[in-house]
Amino acid sequence: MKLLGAVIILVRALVVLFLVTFMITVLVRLLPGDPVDTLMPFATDEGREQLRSELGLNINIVQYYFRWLGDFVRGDFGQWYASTGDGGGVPIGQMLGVALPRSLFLMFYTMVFSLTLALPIGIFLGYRADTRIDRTLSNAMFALSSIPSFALGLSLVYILGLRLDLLPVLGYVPFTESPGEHFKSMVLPVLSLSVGLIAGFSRLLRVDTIATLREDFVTMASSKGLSNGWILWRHVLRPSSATLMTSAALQMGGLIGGAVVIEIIFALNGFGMLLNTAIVTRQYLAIQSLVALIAVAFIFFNLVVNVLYAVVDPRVRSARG
Amino acid sequence: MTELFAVEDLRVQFSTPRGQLNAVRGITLSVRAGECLGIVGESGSGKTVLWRSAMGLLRGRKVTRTGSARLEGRELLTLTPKEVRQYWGTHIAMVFQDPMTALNPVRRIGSQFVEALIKRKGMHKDAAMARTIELLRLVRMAEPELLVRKYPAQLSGGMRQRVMIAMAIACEPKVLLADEPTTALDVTVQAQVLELLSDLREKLGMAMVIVTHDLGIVAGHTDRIAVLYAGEVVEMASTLDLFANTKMPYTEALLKSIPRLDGTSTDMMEVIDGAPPDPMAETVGCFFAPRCKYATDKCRHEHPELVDDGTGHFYRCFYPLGKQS
Amino acid sequence: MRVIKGSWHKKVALAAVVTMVTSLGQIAPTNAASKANNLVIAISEFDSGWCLQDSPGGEQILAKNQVSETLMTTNNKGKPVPYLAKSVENSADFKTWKFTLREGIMFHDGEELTAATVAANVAGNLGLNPVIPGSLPAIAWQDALGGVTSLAQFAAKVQPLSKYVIQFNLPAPRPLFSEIWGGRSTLWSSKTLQTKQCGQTVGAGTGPFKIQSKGVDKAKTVLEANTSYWRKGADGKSLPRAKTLTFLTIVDGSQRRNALLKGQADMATFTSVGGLVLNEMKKDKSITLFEGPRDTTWSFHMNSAAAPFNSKNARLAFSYALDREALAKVVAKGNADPAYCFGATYHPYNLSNGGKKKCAPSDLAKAKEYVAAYQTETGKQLAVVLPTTESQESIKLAQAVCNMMIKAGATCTLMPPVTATAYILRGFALQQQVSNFNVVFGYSSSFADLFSRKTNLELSGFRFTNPGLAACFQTAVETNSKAKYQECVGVLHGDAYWVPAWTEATFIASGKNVVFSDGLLPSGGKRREIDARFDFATITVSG
Repeated sequence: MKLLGAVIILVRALVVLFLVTFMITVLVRLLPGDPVDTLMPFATDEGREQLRSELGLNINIVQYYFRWLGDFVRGDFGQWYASTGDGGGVPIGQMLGVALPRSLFLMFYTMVFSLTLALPIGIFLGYRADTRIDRTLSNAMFALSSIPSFALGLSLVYILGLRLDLLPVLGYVPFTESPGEHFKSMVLPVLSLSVGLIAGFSRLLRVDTIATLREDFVTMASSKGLSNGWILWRHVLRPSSATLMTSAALQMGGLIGGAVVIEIIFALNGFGMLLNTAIVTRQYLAIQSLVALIAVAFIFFNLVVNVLYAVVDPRVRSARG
Repeated sequence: MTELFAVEDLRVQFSTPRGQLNAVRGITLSVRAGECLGIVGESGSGKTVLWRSAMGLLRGRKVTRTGSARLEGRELLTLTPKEVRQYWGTHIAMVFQDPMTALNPVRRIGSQFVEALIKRKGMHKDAAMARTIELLRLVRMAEPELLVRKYPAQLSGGMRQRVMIAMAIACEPKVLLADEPTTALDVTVQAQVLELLSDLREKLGMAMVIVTHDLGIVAGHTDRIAVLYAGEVVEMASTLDLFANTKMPYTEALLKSIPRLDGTSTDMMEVIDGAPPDPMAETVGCFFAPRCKYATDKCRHEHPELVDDGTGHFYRCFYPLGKQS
Repeated sequence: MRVIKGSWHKKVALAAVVTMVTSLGQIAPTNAASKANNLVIAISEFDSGWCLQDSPGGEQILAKNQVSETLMTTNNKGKPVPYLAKSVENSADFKTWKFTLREGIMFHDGEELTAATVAANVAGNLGLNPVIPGSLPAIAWQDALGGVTSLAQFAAKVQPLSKYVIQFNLPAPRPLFSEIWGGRSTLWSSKTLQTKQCGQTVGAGTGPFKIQSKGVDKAKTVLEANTSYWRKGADGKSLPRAKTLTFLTIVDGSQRRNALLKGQADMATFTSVGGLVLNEMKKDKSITLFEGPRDTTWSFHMNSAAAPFNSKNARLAFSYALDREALAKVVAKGNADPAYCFGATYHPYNLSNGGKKKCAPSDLAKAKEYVAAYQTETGKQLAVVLPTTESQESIKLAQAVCNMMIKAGATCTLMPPVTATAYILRGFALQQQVSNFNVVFGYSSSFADLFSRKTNLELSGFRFTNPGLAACFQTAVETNSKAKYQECVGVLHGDAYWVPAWTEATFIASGKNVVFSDGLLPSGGKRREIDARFDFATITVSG
């Protein structure tokens, strides 16, 4: 039974991946403007034909898709096209080797940090729902979350980087080079991204906490004479975290490719920047491979969350059999 | 016998956006050590609010409580949440209506026992686990060693209710409050659970309060019964006396609404027409008057007091049954 | 069980926190990115390739010029002077050009610079060997050589006379031919050309620095000193002085300044559009701001092949609506001059007759008239769509221009931002209504000439609807006559194909650790201090 369930989940994930990547292929083709015009505006007719065949624009979309898919599953994400044609470009895999760790670290730290703060805040606000402190804090968080991340980022740069001289104002240091510098380089971007997330996450958790607090088992737990803190952490948090987990999973997928503004400001140049550049310079192969990777990430994090649901809530486990 | 847990003129109001809601309007009750008290009333009669607010489970800015609730002579209403918590579990424990919702679905049975024993009794982890297994045996659960590893969803309704009872008595409370302990269960299981509760009360010498809407289920298991209507006690007497010598038309109506196994046809079962008064509205006269087939003009304009017939049988009626009207 | 589990989690979390805190504590505040003579330069442009065909922007050319050098360069008077070449001679009819190379100059991969290498580079630029489909700078070469499509044709026109002498036989007079050799046509080793590389990730030039890592991280180019570099400093000591050069792409202007303040960068480049940042830097005590000559003119180039700017009314409306004073003041915060008639006063395209003639200023009333005329002509309201790049400055500029258009009665929206290179390429590919380019700069007209003459070619995008204009420029180029230029530019201006906006300088800022030495040229005279050929070889960074 369990094996069958796992197989079904896996097959479903593969079907989604297949559909997503094929849709991307179609959508990339639908991008306005001939990529040949953008990549090589002054090319001769001969040059244009050569470029078209290099880019696979001269074969039908299904053939092209399977050619790409075959390369993709073998780990060959294609070349970042160079104007000097085949051979002049950089393997996208190599570029990912630089960009991806940055985005993954950024995502990881941001999630850890924002969840670490959002959990107690959300639970607390749910516990104190509709009191003055809840209203004050909720409004403050709402206000904070409406600050654009780049404005927040630049303010943090000014205060923490320049005024207090505590942190580097931009850049990325690999962990292997210097763990200390690595953490320091990540503080400001992580803070800039986290504020909005903390506000969002704690709002979600607050709502679910309020609902959970109405449950009989919470009254039961209090009637056993347990302290409020214990009840909130041990009895209320887990049943209240389903929405939060779903949202967090989506954010994890989204942060990998979607933190472009922060990547630009802090000169992090991770995955988001790479994808952005790929789109504006019509790097067909790169767009396709990068978006496919994001889809893989989304599906992966969703699978992880599905597993986590079962860990957190045994009802899910028994329902799945 | 001394009064173990006593409620005196307890009034509970809720602030709602529509105005003040009178949930409990001056109730005086008590339970003596070892005694079993039944509290009977329709939904909305205030029976659940009564006990939850007396215990201090219901409190907050929107709840106004006046009167007094004493446990072994100590006033509970004036205690801080932290102070009153000291009594929960060890002095008063509760059994809830729906064992499915009253057990935390995401935690193992064992850990829900162990946490109370560690936190409230200061037991060591291993001792607490041993005690848990013992308690589960006490409520006649088979294979308690396996049970502690399970989640509530893996048990049947009757098993869950027995688990909850075991959890309630884990810290040896002096008063066990059972709020509709059998409502969510099959009829066959209901009897078992009630049997178990009576059994445990004798074994552990606890006082017990069974709160229910069903007079039938408390008939064989209580010493005394208080009937609540619209936040008031309308009749209170020893169980035998209440059934034999019913004074209140409301109690009579409740009795008639119980389906009887020996009944010959369904028309024997009566339904009480109408609804209890709006708890938001100021009502004059007897609260039950609009639904009472014996009601007179006096009933509609004057509010009857709770009176004692001299034998400890209390009732709130101008024209009690059994007397010529 | 769960209690044990709980404490396990706690231990891990605690360990993680302890590791982070201690590792944060270990390092004192970072203030020196440049340890011991490693120079970090903050630029705003991403690396999208150094090949001519990639159309790199000014800042990437700045980086490229440290690796790969040109036969000629420009001195502080704006004149082309020999650089890798020792001397240059031309025939009286400007058709035959002979370059004599310096001897013993070595590429980073050990090849010696010879006439054959120079010829190979030109062949490479034309896409002949190896075969590379053509692009913009190749058009410059195609144009100069009068169309070359095979190696046989090429051999007749580009002839290595000896190891160090190369001769170009041009079919038409090109008085400014040597300027091509002072511009973007830098030289790569033969091996580099054969791998279809021109510093994409690797590449050997003759420059003071060689590529250490590049291309994989489009925001970071690391160069290291070429210890056998051919030039010497004025003090006779070897160049370059810095051990490494790192070009770091920081798109946001205020962050480039912050990086300088913080010591995370030693130098940074700016444009006048980031006026606010420039003015702040003028107040920063720890930053020195260098401003080059204000001779780069940014113009709006209309795509006259498509609506709305195929209408002269629309072009004139745009031209008159453009408030140049406001652009110089509001956007550049006084760090640029409003441009009315093309380029610095000494540029051949300048119509002000050495500053004596007053050119027509912006005129809102006229703009409104032309907007109305456009509406009468087409029945549609003039709808302007402005492209942007990712820099804050570009977006700010586009917003300001948009407001001017709206004031004149047109509608205006912004296109989503793209990279600098994509902006240029989209402009060429006729994917933008209007593009902001700086083809008029310095003393030279060669780059602008190419633009003005080739704009009637289908390949190049921008097209003049006036049929005589390209021919006019062709004559101007061949004769290099100021009068002819004035005539052509007058038409260009009057029909508003190009709308000049403002004139600015290159800005380079440096932190306090940077020490400059000389700015002399090997052929004698001074180099232009601040421009795309900025000489990083003479800079030392104190640790």
